[in-house]
Amino acid sequence: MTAARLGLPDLGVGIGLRVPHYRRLFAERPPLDFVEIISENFMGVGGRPRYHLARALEAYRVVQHGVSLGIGGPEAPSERYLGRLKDLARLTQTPWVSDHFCWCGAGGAHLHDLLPLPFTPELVRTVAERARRIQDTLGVPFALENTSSYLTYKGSVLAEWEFIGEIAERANIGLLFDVNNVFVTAYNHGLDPLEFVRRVPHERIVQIHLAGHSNLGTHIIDTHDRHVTEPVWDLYRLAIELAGPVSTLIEWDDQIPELEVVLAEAERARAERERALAARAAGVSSLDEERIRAVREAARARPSSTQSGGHGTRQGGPRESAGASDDAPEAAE
Amino acid sequence: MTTAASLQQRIAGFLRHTRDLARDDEARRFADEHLTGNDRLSPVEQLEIYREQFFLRHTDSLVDDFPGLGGILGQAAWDALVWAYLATVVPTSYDLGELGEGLPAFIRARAGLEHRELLVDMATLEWHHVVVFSAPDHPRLDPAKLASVPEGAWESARLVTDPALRLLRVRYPVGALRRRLIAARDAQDSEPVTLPAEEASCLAIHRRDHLIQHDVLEPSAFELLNAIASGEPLGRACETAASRAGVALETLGQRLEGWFGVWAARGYVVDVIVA
Repeated sequence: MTAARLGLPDLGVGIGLRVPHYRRLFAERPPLDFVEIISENFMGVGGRPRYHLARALEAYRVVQHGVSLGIGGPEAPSERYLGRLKDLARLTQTPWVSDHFCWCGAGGAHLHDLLPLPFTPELVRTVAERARRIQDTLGVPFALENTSSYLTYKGSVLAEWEFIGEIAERANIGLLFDVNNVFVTAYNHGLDPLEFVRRVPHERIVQIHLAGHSNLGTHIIDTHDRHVTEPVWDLYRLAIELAGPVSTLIEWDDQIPELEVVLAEAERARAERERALAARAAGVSSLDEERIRAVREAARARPSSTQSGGHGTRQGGPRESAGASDDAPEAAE
Repeated sequence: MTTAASLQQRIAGFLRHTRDLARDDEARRFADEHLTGNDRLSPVEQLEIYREQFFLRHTDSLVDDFPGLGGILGQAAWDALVWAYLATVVPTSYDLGELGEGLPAFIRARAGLEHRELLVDMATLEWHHVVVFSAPDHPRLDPAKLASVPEGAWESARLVTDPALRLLRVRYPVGALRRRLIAARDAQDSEPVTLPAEEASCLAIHRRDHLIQHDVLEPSAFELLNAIASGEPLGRACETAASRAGVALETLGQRLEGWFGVWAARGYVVDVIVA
C-alpha cells in the first residue's frame, strides 16, 4: 500500500517566491511554512538571482518547481538542463522537485509554454519512463503537475485523470495537484471538476497549487493574477478531505499585489485546509449538495461571464532581469 | 517519428506563425484533423490561444531585458521588430534570458529601420547586461597572490578578468540614454526622450555588488583590457593595445600601473596566472 504523500512531509502552507516581494520578505520574514521557487529562475550560476536565493534559504524552507522540462516532448529533456536542476536541488535541499505533464517544444525549439499532451498509452509509456529516469538522476523525489489546457486532441483515448494517475503509478512519482488547473480544464473542455478531483490517486499527491484565473467567457486562461475563486476553494477542500494534509501553495504570478494580499490568501488556504481536515476526521464532507451544485454550475461555460485578460501568462511571474531600474550610474576612469 | 512527436512538430511550427491561425488554411485543416474544438471554440481557435500566448510571453520577456531598445522604438515599432525577430529566430534554450542573444545582429540586418546604428548599440549594450547579470560569481583578486608574482614574470603572466565583465565600443552614449529611458518608463512619463547625437566611447559593463555599471574607459585602456580578456599574456597584450590604439608602447607602459590599480579596485581583474 502506498503511504500518504508517498511518505513525504506535509510542509503546511506557503507562497510562491516572487521578485516584487523580495525586499519585504527578506527584511520582515513573515511566518510562512515554505516558499516555492521557479527552478529556471535560479539555474544560472551567479549574480543577483543566486544572492536572493541565498537570502530565501536563510529565511525559509524552499521547494523547487520547474516550468521548462517538457517531459512529454519529442525529445527527452536535455542532460545540460537536468545537470543544472540537480545542482540547484543540492543547493536548496528541496524535499521534492516538480514540473508538469506537458511538452514545451519540438525540433529544437523551446516554446516556453506548458502545452497539453495527447492522453494516449504511447505517451503514458514515454512520460513514465522519462519520469522514472529523471527521479533517479536527480536523487530526490519527483512530482508532475496537471496543467491547465485550452485544446484537446482527437487522438486522446484516456481521461486526464487516468493519464496522470497511470504515469504516476508506473514511474512511482508524486503528483503536484493544481486544483485551479482542474477547474480551468473542466470549464474549457466540459468536464466535471469534482470527478477529476475524486479520480486521481490521492496518496500520490505531495503538493497542491492554488491560483486565480481569468474567465474570457469562451474559455478560461490560467493567469495567476487574482484571488482564488470560490469553486476552486471548494475543490481544494474536497482534495484535502480525500488526500489528507498536503503542502499547499498560493501562486500569484501577474498583477502581483502587495505582500499582505498574498499572505492573506495563504491564511485563507490554511483555514480552508483546517476545515477540510476537520470534516475528514469526522468522516463527513464540507461540501454539501448546494456547494456541489455551485461548483458544477460554475464549471459550465457561459460566454457572458467575460473578465479582463489577454496578456502573456508567465508561470512564476516576471524573471529577475537585467532591465531593472536600479543599475548603477556611469563611472569614468 | 512517433505519432505524438509528429503532431508536436506540426504544432510547434504553427505556434510561431505571426498571424492569426484562423486565417491560415493549412492551420485550419490541421486543427480540424487533430483537435476537437468545442461548442464555443473551433479547433483552430483553440490552437490560436497558444500561438497568441507564445508571442505575448516572449515579447514580455524581451521587454524586460531590452527596456532601452523598446524605449527608443516606441510600442508599435517595437512590436513589429519583436514579432519579426520571433518569426526568424527560434528560441532554443529553456532560459528565456537567452532569447535576445541574436537581437543585435537581427537589427543590424533588418531593412528600413530608423536610427539603426543607435539601435544596434543599444541592443548590444542590453545583451551584455543580460550576460553580466547572471554571470558566475568570482572571488576578488587576492592581494597576496599579486604580491607574490616575481618581477620578471609579469611580461608572460596572464591576467584573468571577471566573468561578469564585458567590453563594448559604442558610437552613441547609450548607457546614459538607457538610464533616461528606464526612468521615463518607471515614471510613466509620456514625453519622448530626446535621442542623443553620435559620441563614441569605450565601455566596461561590469557587475559589482549585484549592480551593473558601465564604466567609460580611455581607448588605449580599453584595448589593453580587451587583449587581456582575450587571454594574451601581459607583454603581448600591451603590444596589441599600443598598436590598436595608435600610441607608443612606452606611453602605454607609463599608464599601466594606474589603470591596473583602478581595475583591481573595481574587480575587473580577479586572478593572475604566472607562466
